[in-house]
Amino acid sequence: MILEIKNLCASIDEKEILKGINLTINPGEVHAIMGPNGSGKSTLASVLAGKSDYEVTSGSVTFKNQDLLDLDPEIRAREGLFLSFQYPVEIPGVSTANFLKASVNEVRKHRGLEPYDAMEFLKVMKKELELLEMDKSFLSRSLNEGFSGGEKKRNEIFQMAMLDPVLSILDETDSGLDIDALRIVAEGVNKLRNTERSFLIITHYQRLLDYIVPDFVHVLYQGKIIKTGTKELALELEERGYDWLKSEVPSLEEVQ
Amino acid sequence: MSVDSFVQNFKNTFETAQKALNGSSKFYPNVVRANAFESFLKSGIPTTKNEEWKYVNLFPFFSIDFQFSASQVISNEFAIFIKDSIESINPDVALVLVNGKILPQLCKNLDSYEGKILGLDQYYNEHPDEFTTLFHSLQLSPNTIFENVSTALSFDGFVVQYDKNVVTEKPLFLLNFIDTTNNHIVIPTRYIVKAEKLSQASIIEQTLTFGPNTSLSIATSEVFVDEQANVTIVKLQNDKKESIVLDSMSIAQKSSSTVTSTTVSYGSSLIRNNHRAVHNGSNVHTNMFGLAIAQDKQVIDNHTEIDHATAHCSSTESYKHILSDSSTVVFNGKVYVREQAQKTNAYQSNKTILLSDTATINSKPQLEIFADDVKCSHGATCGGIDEEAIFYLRSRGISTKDAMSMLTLAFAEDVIMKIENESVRTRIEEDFLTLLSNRTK
Repeated sequence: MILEIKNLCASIDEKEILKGINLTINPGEVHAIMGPNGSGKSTLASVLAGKSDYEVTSGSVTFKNQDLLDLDPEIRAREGLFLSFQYPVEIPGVSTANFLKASVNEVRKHRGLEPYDAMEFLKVMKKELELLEMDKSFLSRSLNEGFSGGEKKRNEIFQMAMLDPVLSILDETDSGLDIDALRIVAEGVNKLRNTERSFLIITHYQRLLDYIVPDFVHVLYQGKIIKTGTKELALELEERGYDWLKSEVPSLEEVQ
Repeated sequence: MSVDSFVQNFKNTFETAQKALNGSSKFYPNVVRANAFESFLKSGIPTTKNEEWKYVNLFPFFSIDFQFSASQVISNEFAIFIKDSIESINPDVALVLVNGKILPQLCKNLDSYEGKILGLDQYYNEHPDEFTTLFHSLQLSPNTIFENVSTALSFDGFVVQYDKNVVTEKPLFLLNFIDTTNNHIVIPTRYIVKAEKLSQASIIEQTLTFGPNTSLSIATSEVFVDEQANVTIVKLQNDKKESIVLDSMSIAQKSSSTVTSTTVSYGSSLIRNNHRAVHNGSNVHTNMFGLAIAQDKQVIDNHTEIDHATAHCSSTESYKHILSDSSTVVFNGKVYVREQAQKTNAYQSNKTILLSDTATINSKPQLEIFADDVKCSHGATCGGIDEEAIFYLRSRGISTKDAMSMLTLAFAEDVIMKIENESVRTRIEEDFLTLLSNRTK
């Protein structure tokens, strides 16, 4: 397996958000996590990426046979974990190309590969840009600065393609995307799918899952996975909403 | 005590020079020098009670025994230092000063340079009327203090003259080498830039100290920019730690002229810049950019002044500071908009990143507006590096340290990008990254 989350509990400012998550992801699998607002979806993504605002109070996360929670965020990235941010940060003054070159070469170094020289790097970048139907003027622009919502998300997927991760977490990558951008992003992901790479897709809506068909769908509610199924579960959620599930887990309601 | 010895040494030096004048004390440039000499004796070294100097106590910096006379012999070691430095800077055109004097044999391609270099006295002999309107004409008493030191001792001062319509291709590097092998030494420099109508020129200044003792560079320049002329000045203040820089530049601009000054400071133990521009005509534009990177106990003090004395002119001022350790930075930005200066458009911004809890920034925008139909804005910010941005970069495999460097450089980049000369720009970026990576976490 790539990732094994056991009984993970995490809090922010002493408020418990994750209340015992269990999830196992094997190589090549695509998992989707759905759930209403405030259920803890983005917290899970942030904890996995190593954001220090969150405190893990109990449980464990094993990533490629290592204790993930023990690794610094940059080491997680170099080991092949990628988070596509829901709200990518704008960084004025750092060009996308320079940033990516530093990033890709750090990751390559960690994996025992030669860093790319300028020419090789440009070649690889151009190829991935085409994949995401992005203009190469992207590269000279400051990272995410003044990018539209769609451009930011495409830039995230572009970075994902460049960094060649084994596990990609897409945190509401579909939010703020129009239908064309959604298709392009999904195609980008689909082209990267293979028997080695795994994905954890966090989304509100079933729409993205029309394009990226998941192997498993989990419903996160009040910090716990309350139901797991296949892609049909997503369709059912789209049709019926989350309320019917809430009533299926009365114990949680009572706790609340 | 040693402040007194500075004044005493200055007095002796001037009086010795005065005796050597052989009766030419009525010669106009010497009259100006003598007046400046008297003025400095009157003012002395300013204390923190002087409003213009309130943030920086100069006295500790003057506690060492500075000598005014440098050895005229260039040692082998110093000669090698000069040669290596020039090779590494690799200027197309260079005016080289050694201990305050122009050394023609070290200058580079001045003969084919479009601008002319003349001694102050020579310039007066050739253009007496013009000279009296230029030399020391932009100094404002009582704020003029160290300017008087360099004017009084301006026997080696010079004029860089750009005739009407002259368009220079390459920047002029003004390289000021100081040898401190024998003692702590004061080197006053004094020059005038005269850019006539429609001329275009670019000057890059740098002081390089050699030897174990401390150098004190007291530099004063006046820059006269005539109608439709365009002058660019870069001051690269990256001298070694055993140095002090007191730099004063006064710019006077006529109609439709543009001046862009960019000052990048990250060397020396103390840097004080007094940079002023006064508008005298319409459609004048002044750009003043600055970047200061202060570490350890460094003190960098930028005093700027833009005097909108005439209507329909504009100015853009942007200063950025990055402070770590126990450094101190001052930004005092005066903008005057005189009563008749209607339709002025003045913009000022100064932004600071504090990388330590013990660094100090004193930021003082000072706008005095007497006209009523003007657009003036100013802003000052101060803070740390954005934690969200650091996490974003770390989540892409970049270490915290590299992320900090990248973000700090990004903060400084828009000022660095104002410098047209690519080799100077590259040099600043490289030095910058070295400085940041040497920083103890």
